[in-house]
Amino acid sequence: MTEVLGGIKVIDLSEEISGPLCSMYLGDMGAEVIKVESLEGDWARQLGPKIKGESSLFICHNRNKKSIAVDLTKPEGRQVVYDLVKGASVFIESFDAGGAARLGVGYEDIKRLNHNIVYCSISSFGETGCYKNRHASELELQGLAGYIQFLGEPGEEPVRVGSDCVEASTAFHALSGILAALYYKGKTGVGQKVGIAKLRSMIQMGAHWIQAFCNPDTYGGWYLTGPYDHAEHGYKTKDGSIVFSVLARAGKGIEAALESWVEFLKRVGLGELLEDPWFKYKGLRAIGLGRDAQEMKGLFETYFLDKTSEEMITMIDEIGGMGSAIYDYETLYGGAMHPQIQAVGAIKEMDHPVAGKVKVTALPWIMSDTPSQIKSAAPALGQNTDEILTRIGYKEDRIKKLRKSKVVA
Amino acid sequence: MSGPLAGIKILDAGAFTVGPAACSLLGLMGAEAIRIEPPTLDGLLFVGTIAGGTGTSYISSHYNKKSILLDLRDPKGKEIGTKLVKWADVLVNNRRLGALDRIGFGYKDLAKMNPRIIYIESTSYGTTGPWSKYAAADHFVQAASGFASINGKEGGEAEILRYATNADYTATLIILNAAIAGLIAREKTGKGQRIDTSHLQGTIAVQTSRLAEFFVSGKNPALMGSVSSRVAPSQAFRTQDNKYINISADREEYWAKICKALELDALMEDARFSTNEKRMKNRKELIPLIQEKVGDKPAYWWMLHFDRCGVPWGFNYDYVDLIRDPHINENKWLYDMDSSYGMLKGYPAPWEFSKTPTEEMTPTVKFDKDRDEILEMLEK
Repeated sequence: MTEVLGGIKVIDLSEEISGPLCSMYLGDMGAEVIKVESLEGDWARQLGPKIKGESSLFICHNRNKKSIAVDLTKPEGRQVVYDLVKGASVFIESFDAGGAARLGVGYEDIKRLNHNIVYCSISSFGETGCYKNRHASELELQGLAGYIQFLGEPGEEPVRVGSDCVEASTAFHALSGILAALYYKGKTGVGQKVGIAKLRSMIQMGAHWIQAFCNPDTYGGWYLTGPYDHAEHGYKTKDGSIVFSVLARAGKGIEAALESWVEFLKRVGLGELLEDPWFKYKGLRAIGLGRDAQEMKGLFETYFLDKTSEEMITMIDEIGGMGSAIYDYETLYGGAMHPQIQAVGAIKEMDHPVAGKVKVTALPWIMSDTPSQIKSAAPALGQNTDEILTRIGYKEDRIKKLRKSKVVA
Repeated sequence: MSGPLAGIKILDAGAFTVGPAACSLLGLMGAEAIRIEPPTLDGLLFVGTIAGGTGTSYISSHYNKKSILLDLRDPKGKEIGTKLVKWADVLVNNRRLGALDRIGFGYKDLAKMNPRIIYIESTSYGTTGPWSKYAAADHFVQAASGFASINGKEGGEAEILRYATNADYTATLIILNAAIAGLIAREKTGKGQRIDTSHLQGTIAVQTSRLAEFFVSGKNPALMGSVSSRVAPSQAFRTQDNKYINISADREEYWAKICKALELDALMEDARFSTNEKRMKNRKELIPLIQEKVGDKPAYWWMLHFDRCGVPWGFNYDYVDLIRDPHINENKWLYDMDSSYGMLKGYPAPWEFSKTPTEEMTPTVKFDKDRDEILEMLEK
């Protein structure tokens, strides 16, 4: 079977989440990924709850990789990386704030050894601008990108996005940059550097709203909600909460959407609201979410409270709207998992030599002719050091010496 | 065209934001993208915040494309559509499940017209299963995937991430990645293929790290406000002037820097806090010590001080802060862009390619603007 990235060798020096998630997807598509770790290992190995001593955070971002532990601060250690790079197509690093160049593994250093390598550099703030020497983590970047303003109650303690959305978005930006550079290299033989800044990735994620925010003729529109609105907890039902919208008849114009509202109000026994001037002004423009909709929350909930979330979603779908229960992890991912999670194949089970059977998220797209594969679990630190060094021509004696002088492990 | 995908041809047969924005990103990478506007017109055209008579979410979902209005059900439209399919390398479809199949433009039809075409179908919840019949948008996928269930203040209720449409844009990025993967595969196989993805899969992928924790505990993650589930300290602290500043000991070296910056040097020697694992365990004792210090001085002071000390820190920006940020402005990550809709905020492509610089953003054209040019191109 053809693998999208069969024959592509990746040297990955990145740590924690974004870089490793990106290179894991490269591995899923058939690339050979060599994870070069410090002697202490990727910092992620110390994070998250452990399974038999193995970090769950590390396991979920590092399948389909081999690990070699190298001390980059020693010249002999750098030489190992230089020798590895010679047969590689892709190099990834996430040392922040110019750290790669200081360690002798910057683009210029690597290019000298492998002129047409695709070199991906991931940093918090990029290589130019007044924050270029700063480091920031997920939380700070969520805040700076304007995400945290959209959670929690205004003026109260901030609430972060529970998911690591900065790291994941950065991984997808890095992955698309690397794939595009590989495509170009495949056509022309020419490699290049791809720079990814996490803050820039996050601004891109939200920039279409910034475009809307600046200089429009009329402002408002979606009545969705904004930074100064209340937290959006959804509407309580008999067995949970739902979020929904009835203004959702794509392509059928505003009249069809209003029909949906009329139908909805009739079904929930609030038909008289249609005569209410307040509702005509505010209710009709609300879409089930946002400040205006929140004003109707109490009214709607009196009807919702003896219906299950599923009954409500079915009804809303019937009248042409859309919605969902606010599902929790146990319902979706516990036990045998929700049938819809199974249907999209988003979670895979694999064997880990120490941790045993573990569940991990899959590559989020499915290719009909060149499917992705999970071949190996996340490696132990330095699990493949000897194998990798032998393959690049290091003799047994030399490897022993390097181990003894703590250059590799 | 510059950019790594120069010469590649994209057909945008999508709706709203998810598919169309992916085609714009492919356009920034140098591909030539054509938007097929359906006769019913896209739902974003006339709603929401309006600039120059057009919905701004339409404007921000269709940059770097040409546009043609086409009724694919009508014989003449079908003929032009068929020619476009033969012209294209990639077709992006995020309409409701089966919408294109019903009018003869599903993958089976397309593969007959052009066996080299890469067809990407991005559905709401997948093509099979109990939810596959439902439509979705950002908020609903947040709720359906568990993404919303882990946002919220300590002891509070789960909440939706308002307005930012992270779920939508993640699905967009996945289409982008899948398209390029399809192009690379085609160089090997000589054939196109069908690629399936969904809003749901994308939003699950964003939760990879939190799901890893869940698969160990089997319990719903606790809501923790601004607090990180894996690093301590990593959370917001209140300053003397009642603002909040985020700081994170994102690695041991930053823990040492935080201790020094807060003049809490003794904590570095404190056995309760000597590793991240211990700080996580003893968080309840640690946080008040830090809060007491941070609460002593105003936000502006900490901003300068943390910079001097190399501590990872940040404020929670609103859009005004964001468009005035010196680093963002110096890099022109947001800039004023003149357009037929008036002045808009432009933003560069998110990649810095050293050899194949990306295209500059060109504002969205009025729908059907390029009809003549496209028809002429298809005649050649």
